[in-house]
Amino acid sequence: MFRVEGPFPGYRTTLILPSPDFGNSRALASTVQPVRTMNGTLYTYVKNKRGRKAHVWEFTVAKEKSLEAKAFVDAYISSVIRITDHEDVIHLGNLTLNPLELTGDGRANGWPGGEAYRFALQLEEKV
Amino acid sequence: MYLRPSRHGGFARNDAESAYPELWAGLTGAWVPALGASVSSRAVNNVGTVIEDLSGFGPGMFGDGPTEIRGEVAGGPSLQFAATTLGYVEMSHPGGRLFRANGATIVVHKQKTDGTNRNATIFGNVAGVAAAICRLYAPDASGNAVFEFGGNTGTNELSISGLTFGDDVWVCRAGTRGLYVWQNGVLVGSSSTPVTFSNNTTTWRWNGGVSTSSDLCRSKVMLTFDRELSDQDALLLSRDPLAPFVVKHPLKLIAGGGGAILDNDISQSLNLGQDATPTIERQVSASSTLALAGLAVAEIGVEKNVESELGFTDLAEGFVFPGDIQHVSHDLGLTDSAVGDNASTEEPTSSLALIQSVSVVGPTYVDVHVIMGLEHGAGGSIGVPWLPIEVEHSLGLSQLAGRARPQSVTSTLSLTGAAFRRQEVQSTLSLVQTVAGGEGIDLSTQNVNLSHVVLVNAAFLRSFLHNNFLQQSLTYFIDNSCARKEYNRYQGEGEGDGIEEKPLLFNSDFVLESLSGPKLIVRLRSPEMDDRDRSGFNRVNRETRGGELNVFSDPAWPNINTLLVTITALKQTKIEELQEFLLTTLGQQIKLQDWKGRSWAGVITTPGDVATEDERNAWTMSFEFEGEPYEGQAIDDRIAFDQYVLPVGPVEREGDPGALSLDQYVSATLESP
Repeated sequence: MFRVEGPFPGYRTTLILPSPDFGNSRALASTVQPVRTMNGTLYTYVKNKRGRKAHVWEFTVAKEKSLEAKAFVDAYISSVIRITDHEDVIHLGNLTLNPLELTGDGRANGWPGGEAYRFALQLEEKV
Repeated sequence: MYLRPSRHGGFARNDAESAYPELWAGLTGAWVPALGASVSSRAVNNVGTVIEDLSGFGPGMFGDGPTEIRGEVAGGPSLQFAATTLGYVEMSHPGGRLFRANGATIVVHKQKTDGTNRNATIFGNVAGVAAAICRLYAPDASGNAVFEFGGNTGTNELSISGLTFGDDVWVCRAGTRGLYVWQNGVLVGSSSTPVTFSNNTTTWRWNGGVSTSSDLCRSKVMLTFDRELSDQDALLLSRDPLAPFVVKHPLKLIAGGGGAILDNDISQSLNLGQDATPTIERQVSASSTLALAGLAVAEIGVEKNVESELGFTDLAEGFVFPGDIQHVSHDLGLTDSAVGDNASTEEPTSSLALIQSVSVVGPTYVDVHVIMGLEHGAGGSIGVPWLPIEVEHSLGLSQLAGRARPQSVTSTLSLTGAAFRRQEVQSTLSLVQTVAGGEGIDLSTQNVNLSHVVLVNAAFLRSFLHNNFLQQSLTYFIDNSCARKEYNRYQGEGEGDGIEEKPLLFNSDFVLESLSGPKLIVRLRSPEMDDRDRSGFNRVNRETRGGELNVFSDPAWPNINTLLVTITALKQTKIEELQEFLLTTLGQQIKLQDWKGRSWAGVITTPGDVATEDERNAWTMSFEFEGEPYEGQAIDDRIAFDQYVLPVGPVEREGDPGALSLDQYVSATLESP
């Protein structure tokens, strides 16, 4: 189970999602800009961003759940939210996705609405 | 043969009757109630009982206190001293006449009857001056045996500790050779400093000598000599204080029947018994030597039957006719028994020699039998268990039968050795059979049966389990060319050697190591096969208006080497470790050891590359590393051409030739592909 709550810390809305698809990722937000001079000397310019990490989860849900997710994103796009992921790891941060795309994934017999939609959540941790 | 002295069997009364006449030399006093000393009960409670002197030199002794002669002690009656005050007997004359100034030996027996040590001497004189002291504490109040002669200090006193006191025979010798004390056949103390004695007129006492003190004890004998006995004599007396009274009594037993004797009975009955029952715990030796010769001579036609038995009965009787079997047999049983109370040496030994001989003239049947049974038993129920127990059989059998025919020699011997308590069992058997001459009707046979048995009272079994302790693993490698993936970097045809490649080190880890700050090391699995080693250049490409391409690159311009790796199937903990490393070493030079074992120095330029979880707890991450290998680490990456390459034909150059510093040219003819 994937739990999304917002805004932090006074939660007013909780979004429950199924576990994400395989392919979730995490990456450092830090960047390195290498600059090499003509004599071969290498200089690096870094942005460590305090070690923050950027997470991406992708979900396959029913149409209604995707709309619920869209409403959540619309409401808290600029707020700090809390995510308890499928491994019960808690992340605090901001949603960085823009735009949110709901992509049809085909028919889903037995699901509410009979259609499956995919979307991704991107979160950059707030340290 | 000698007879033991006893009050009933008699004893030697002088040196001529004694088996040890030398022990009568210098014998100045011999009071031996064990031999039935004269008793004259002239008063109540044995007061005034006279113990006669047997030496013929000293006076008798009489008791003034509660002393009596009792016969309850084995070996004869003894004096019993039953009071701790005035419980002694004393000589009616001064004791000074018993010794000489520079030589004395006193033999005394003492059996304490209680466990209290007192300062009372077993013998002594009522000392007037210190130089006249001659006395023995056995023991004194502190538990030591103290022999004083000519004084009670310094070299005139011999104090011996560590002894036990019970039923003991003491021999004390003093004089020019110093002070010596034997106890039960053992020299227990000595001092080599000569001592002298001053005769005096004080009274010689038995179980007294210091004021009126006396000890509770029994005593059988006291002997005094006015000389220093030899060590051998002193040792003998300490073992057998009655040795001077052993009667010399040689026995001569002659039995025989000669001539033509019919119905002649020869019978000898001899009872020899030696009893060695010592009062001391030392080696015991008891031996009997007996030579019996039974001879029966008969004319032809008379049965000759000679037997020797331990009952000492020889028989010669009956008649037989010529050619009858002549039977000669010995039945002899020897039993030696040694019983001791301590762990001293005990060696029961049986020596038996049987010689049977039948000499026959004529073709009569000859049969010689030797039937012998030896049983040795050694029991370790007493003594010290770690001392060895030896059971040994030594048996020599010689059989000889000489006759024309047939000949049959057979030896059948069965030895059984059994040992308990970790003893070695060993049987050594040697059988030699010889058949000389005759006809080989019956082959000589040997039947040897040796059985070794070791009995073990305890068996220690161990069961060894290794369920969680020992593990086994097997690693194998099929060595063939495919498995080794033979690698030849040189691809092509024709002559020429490929550039030597450093052996692939597939077992190397992919290691990231920080070079500054805290030492961080991250070990990852080797990356995927799609790794890239990218080499970037700096050059200038210009195309003239006429369409001519001019390319320029300064050798001093740097080349940029970049490694692009993708590592898959990393666990989340490893991803977190890697990203922590990337954050800590952000923009800093690190050391990278690739899967070939080569080490690089450089910077990870894409720390923000995403790590994707492709499968459950299986993450994939890529990054780029920009750096250079350490010197000598990658010989294939920087090839040093040591031969010039000369192109065919002139080199066309544009612009300022000085701006180009190419010094490489091709001198070989390149073959077209």
